[in-house]
Amino acid sequence: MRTLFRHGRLFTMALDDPPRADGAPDDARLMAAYAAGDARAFEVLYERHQGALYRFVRRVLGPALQAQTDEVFQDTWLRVVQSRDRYRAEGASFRTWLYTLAQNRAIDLLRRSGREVSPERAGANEPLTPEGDPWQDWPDPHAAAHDEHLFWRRAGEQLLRCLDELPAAQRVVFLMHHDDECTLDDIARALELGFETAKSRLRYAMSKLRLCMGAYLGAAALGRSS
Amino acid sequence: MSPDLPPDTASGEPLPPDAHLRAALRHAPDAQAQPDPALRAAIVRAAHEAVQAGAQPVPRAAPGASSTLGALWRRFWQAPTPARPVWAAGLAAAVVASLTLTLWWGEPVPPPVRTEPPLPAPAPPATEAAAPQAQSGPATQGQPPAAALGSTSAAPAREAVAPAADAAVAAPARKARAESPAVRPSTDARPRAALPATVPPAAPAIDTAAQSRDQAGPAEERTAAPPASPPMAATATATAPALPPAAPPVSAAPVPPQGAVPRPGPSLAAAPAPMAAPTAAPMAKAAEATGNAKAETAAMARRQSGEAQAVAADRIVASLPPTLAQRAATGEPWRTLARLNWQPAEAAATTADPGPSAPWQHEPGGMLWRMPGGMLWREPDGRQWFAPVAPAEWPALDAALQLLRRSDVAPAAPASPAPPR
Repeated sequence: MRTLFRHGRLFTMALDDPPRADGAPDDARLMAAYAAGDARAFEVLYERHQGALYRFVRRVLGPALQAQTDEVFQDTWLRVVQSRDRYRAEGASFRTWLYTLAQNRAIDLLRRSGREVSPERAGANEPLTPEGDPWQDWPDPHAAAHDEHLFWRRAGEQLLRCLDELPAAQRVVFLMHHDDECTLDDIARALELGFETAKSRLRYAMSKLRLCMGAYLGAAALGRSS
Repeated sequence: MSPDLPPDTASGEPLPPDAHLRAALRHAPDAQAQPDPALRAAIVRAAHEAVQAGAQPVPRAAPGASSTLGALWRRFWQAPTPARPVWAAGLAAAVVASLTLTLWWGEPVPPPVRTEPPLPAPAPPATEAAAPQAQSGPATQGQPPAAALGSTSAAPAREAVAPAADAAVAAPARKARAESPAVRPSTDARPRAALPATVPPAAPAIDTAAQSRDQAGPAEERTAAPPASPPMAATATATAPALPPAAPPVSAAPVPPQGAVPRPGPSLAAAPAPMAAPTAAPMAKAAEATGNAKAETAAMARRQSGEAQAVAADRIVASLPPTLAQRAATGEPWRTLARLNWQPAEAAATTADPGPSAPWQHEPGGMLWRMPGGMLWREPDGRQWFAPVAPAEWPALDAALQLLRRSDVAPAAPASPAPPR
């Protein structure tokens, strides 16, 4: 743990991977072991992060470039293999570093495909003017009922559609913050952004997603209640 | 319908994650998406191969060669290729510079080699003492016979005529000459003139060029006997004008008194024997008429060896006016005058009448006139020598005369010398 004074605020951030409850070695140790020649350490790292990274890449690319998910995913891990000697645990957590590699590769692919729009051109930094009230009829996300499960399943589908409408920069920040549970400071450092910029992108993404989700799920909720 | 969940503020983040959006992400259709097993296998295989490739044994140094010196040596030779020539060139330059300075330390700077037109040499005279001395062998093989030297030994004679400064100047020349095997045979082949018993030891007349040539037996050479074969020596001197320009000539060491005493030969090594002035010209003519193939061969050897100074000395004739020979030992500009082809006025092909021009006079020497066709020298006893001067030689000669005028020679009162005899 390290306490930082940044942007006028004190932050307590985890530069190292948190200790694992199962007693397994953390990511930093595994990466160090792999850099020393232990190939089995890489396998452990791969098994630990493959699912989340694959989803992250798939969601950043969106449905249009879903076929390129495997390519970006493979390139990301090959970057890890090639850069095993340059990784320093004190710079960032392995998880943050891994997602940074993946998003860089995904952004490059989006740029080449013409789908990536810069945040400035997309109005990411413009003041948000919601067109309606956010949807307030969320079901309990921890409910285990069958109906609730179906609701969240449909909500997830809708969220993916809404994510595809976000600029890539905001999408990346939102996914790293909500899906991969990275802190804002880690995101800012990983994407080489200012803290306020990362925070602004996250705020815009959340607001847009709430509006997008309310417009769709409101009607669905009304139909279900009726 | 569940109530709306407040934002997750437990993390302490300035912008806590939205629990609903996170729940929607968790239930998204791709929440369970996994990479293809084949893709996993390819990635893991690449990771293994990278580790195995990086774990290849790196050639290490031998256990005994881990010393610091060995490491530095390996680092020097295992440096990138572009760095080697730079280091090698720098090291070589330093070595060459050090060696040059070491060899040159304490040595004087050699005088510049003057390039002047060659001078025709008169024929060497022949005397009765020439034959025994000529058979005494090369000068470098030993001392000349005592009989030929008379009462004057070689060492004292050399000491008497070798100033300390000239010895220092002649040191490099002696070295170069000692290292040049092609020089010695030609030098040794020259006849020697006998040293007259009446050589005045107090009248040294030798310049630096003579010192440079004086390596093994300068006294012997200066006291050389007349050539055993006058035509040979004459031919050798006759071929001298064709040789390249050489260093200042060598003047005669001793200056005998006037009269029947043999005149000193200005050339130390190849100078023919001193002879009486009146007989020099006929002998030279005879030598030129007959020629000698052996002497030509010797001259060719000298020419090929590049022994410029020796060749220049060869060109010095033995018929210099005695007073001028003395002055030539003092250096320039007298040497320039001594290089001229001085001939007794009787043998000169001109009527050496100086006319009303003012001579240059030097005490106790003779008088000098600059005439349209050459230079005229008159000894105190009245004898005259004439040296023809080519038009191309006048600039250098005039410069020498100007030096004479500025230095120790004062113009004498205008006087018209008597017509040459």
